[in-house]
Amino acid sequence: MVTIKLLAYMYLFFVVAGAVTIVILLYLRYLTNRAFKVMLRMVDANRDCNYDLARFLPNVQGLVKVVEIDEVFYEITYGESALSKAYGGKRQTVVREISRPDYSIRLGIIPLSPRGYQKYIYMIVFETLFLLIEMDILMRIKVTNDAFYNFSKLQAFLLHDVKNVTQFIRSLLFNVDRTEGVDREHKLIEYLRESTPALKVRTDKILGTLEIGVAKGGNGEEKQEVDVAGLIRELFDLHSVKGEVTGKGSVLAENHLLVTVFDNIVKNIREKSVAEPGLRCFASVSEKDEALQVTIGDTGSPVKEIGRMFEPFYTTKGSGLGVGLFQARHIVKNMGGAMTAANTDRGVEFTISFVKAGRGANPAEGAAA
Amino acid sequence: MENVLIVEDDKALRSQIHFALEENYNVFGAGDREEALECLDRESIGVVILDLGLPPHENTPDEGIKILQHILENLTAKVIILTGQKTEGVAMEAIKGGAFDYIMKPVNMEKILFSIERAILFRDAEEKLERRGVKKISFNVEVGQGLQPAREEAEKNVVLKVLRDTNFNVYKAAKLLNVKRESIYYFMKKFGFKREEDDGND
Repeated sequence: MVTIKLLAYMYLFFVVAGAVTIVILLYLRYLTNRAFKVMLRMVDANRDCNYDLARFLPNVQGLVKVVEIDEVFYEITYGESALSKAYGGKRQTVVREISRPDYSIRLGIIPLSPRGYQKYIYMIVFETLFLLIEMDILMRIKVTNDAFYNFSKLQAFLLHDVKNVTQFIRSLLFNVDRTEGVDREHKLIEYLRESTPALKVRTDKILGTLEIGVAKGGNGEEKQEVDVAGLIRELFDLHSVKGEVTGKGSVLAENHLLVTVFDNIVKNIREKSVAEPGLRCFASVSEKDEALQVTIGDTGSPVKEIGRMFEPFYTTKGSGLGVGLFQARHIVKNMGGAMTAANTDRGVEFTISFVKAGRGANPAEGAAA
Repeated sequence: MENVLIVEDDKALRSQIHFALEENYNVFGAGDREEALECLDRESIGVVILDLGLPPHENTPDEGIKILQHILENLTAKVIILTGQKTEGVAMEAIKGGAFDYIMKPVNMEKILFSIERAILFRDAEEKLERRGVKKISFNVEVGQGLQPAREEAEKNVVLKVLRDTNFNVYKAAKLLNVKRESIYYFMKKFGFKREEDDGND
């Protein structure tokens, strides 16, 4: 009898203990879920604020309230920015700080119930918030540094070209002032006739670089029928590149833009040929229906990471800027065309297709029609 | 007329400088290092106007510095750097390397012409002195390091110059320097001098 009663009590005990355990587990799960939801909301809010701490931090207070965090305060400095929200009270706080040469973070919270599992939950949320802030700062510092680095590189490239053009003008003025006699005048004109195509390529390059990323409406006034095969031949000559150009075809476009596209490609081949003396290059131009297709390439070694060739500021050359091919493709796309690069059996090939005779070259016209 | 070589990759600019100089000098042009070295090999050039940023690395001074080093090691031509590369390091490297003048683009043509005249004057004076047996040897030392490094640098430069002038003929070099042949071998070993053609066979 006693044994049966004992078993009944034990059974009841296990049932109650099991029920209590289930309730506790469900409660812990509820708390954990709530913490995860808060963390996800913080990540979402950070993204919605475009990873801008000045916009993100004021929203944090409302998000963390549900995980027993009464208040958030901080002192953050990075670059030329400083963000702060002070707390001058006497309640118990949890503070974490980090100081690096580029930035410093002091983040604190005031928990509502600093005990047990609740503490575990709000500490996870607190650590997540700290990491988000640090990541935002590091990302901003990297983006700023990269932008400055690329800007100064771009500026150095432009400066080099502009200085040469300025020096040319000064030299020309000097020569014009001092040239006497018909023979010398004729000679000066002859020199100018020979050298101005090179000058034009340089000024087109400057213009093209300044126009990177600038959306152009295009009014059609400067457009002309450009003989693409002829243009490539001129550039081969200018850069002393040995190669054959086959086929023919023309496209209605602003000449300087086409010069920029093909000059960047030919210059790449020329630079490659210094390291690979036996390298030859080739180009073919063909017209099909309303499209003009140009294949231009070299017989040299394949390019590693060819998929990154058009990435801005990506360069395999120590002295390169990494905008040439990006700029070329950007121009081709703006003209309604396409540009690709591939390692083939022959070597490295660029394929460029244009929409002929004004279509695509001026999207506004197409839309109006 | 003095021979002047313009090493400049910008064809338009090169032709204008060419035009400005051609009435008073025999002018040659080169657009890259290969062309420049060919011309220096072929002609007896007195003054070189050298742009440092040359293809295929127009945005670094590497190509120009290589030409400068070649000239200073093998020729007596005076080098006037005419460049747009405005970095202190580049200027320092060029001047340390022995460039006669360093002119930043853009500059008025008068300044280039003045620099060429001075370069020719200096070159003529050095040639006159050389005919009298006085050789100009320049070297860079850090003041404050004591006299030993300066002495070694001077020794090194004198021996190297004489060895080059005598095409690494140890007998002639020893005679010119009035020292024993063993001393020349000692210096060659100490400073690691080798005949140029030996380098290629190593």
